[in-house]
Amino acid sequence: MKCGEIQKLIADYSVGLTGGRTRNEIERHLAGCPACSSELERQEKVMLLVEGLEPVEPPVGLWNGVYNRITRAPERLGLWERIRTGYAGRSAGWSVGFATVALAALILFTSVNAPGPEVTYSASEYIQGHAIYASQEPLADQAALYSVVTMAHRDQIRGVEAL
Amino acid sequence: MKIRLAIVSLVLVAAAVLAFEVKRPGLGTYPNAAWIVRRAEEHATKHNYSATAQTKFCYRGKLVTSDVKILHKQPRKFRMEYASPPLRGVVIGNDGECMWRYDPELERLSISSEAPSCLNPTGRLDLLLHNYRIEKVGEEEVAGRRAYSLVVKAKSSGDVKKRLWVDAKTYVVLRREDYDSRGRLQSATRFNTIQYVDDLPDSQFEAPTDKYRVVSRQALGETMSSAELSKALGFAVRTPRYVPAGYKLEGYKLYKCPCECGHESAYTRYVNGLDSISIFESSVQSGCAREGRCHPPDAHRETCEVRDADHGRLASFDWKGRSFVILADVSSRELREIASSLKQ
Repeated sequence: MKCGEIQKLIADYSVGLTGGRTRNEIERHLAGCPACSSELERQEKVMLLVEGLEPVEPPVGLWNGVYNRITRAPERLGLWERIRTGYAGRSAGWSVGFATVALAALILFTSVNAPGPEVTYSASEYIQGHAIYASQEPLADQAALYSVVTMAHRDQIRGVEAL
Repeated sequence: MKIRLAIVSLVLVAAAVLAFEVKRPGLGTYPNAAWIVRRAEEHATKHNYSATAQTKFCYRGKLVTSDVKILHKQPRKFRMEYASPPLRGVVIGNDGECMWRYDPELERLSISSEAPSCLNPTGRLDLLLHNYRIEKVGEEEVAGRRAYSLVVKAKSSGDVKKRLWVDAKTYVVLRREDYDSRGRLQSATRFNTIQYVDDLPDSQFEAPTDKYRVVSRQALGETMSSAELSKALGFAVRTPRYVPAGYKLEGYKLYKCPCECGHESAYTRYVNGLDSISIFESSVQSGCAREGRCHPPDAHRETCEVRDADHGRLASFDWKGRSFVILADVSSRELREIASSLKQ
């Protein structure tokens, strides 16, 4: 093996991820190559530093946020996304041309309609208040209403729009 | 003299017994539905019990089912442990002074500074009986106990809003179903088992601060007058000129965002004994920081937007530098009318 190949494999080797035959070849190379040996030494020092760090707790809701993004139904790409990514194998030239036409149409449309900036209302905050006080009404279903409060609170902490 | 006194006492005792027997259900008179509901409300704070139940609730338009274990200690202590997804592991409690919730998914133990309560609880049941008609439709067995089956209908429309199954002996509500104004089931809780007990240890109702780190101490907000609320928020809180028939103003509250971002709103609440109208008003420049509400200063949303929500509808709009959010189970027309009357 040459130095270039060894450099690519050295990170795996340092943490014991290389198989028997490859490992033997790397070890043979390292025995006769001071440059690769010092690279291995540097990698091992970094690993020791990382292992010496205190474990860090991930932020609350991180996993839920990742999970939500994984399980979210695939969204249909919008016009702009299709143009930007050259969706369906269109060539860059087609995409740019289409984008120019679309942009011109958009400018014309907005200048005619001018609806003003979009405002997004977050409802989780208010749904919790509405449900928690509704739970105090006579004959209220507290088990169900507290469930709604808990779900809305989760959504609020995760930053998911409740409606 | 002693004989006269004895006779008078005997007559009084007989009269008292007669009066009690006449009022008591099941003996000569068929129990009246409204009477059962009054007893159910009174007895909600009079029993200690341990129960297993299944609860269904509407969230984001879907009916979610969860098994829950319920402990109740008189007068108002309770503990609810959810045992199935999506709320598995969630525990909600009330130690009589404050309410708490542990959510394992968020790894949060939140404790409120007070237990939520009606802003004005007096006469609430009278209001319910004024606006709704209660009918006894029969008797059924629920959780192994004989229960009166009741239907609560809106007097104005005749729509069924609630069904109740009340324990014929203890008057504890063993099963309930709630419907929105469009007749859709919004929530249902049914006890599968119930055991009445003499006492339950107080420790069951206390927040498990020794087990979990408290990450949130929520203040639910303060009840205050309209003038005090206006002073606290720095703007004159608006009151709608119109609310649908049957609703009465319950009061005003300084509502603090539950995520503790510091956002405050004026909360005006109307009740009709069963349903409520919540009006939240805050400055357009503010909003829940965590939810990242986008609200550029030059934004205009004066047109009232009405959306379907679980348990009713939600209306939102901006007007004169303030944002309004209204939640209520009323028709779109009524919701728009409430919204437009806030501008008058």
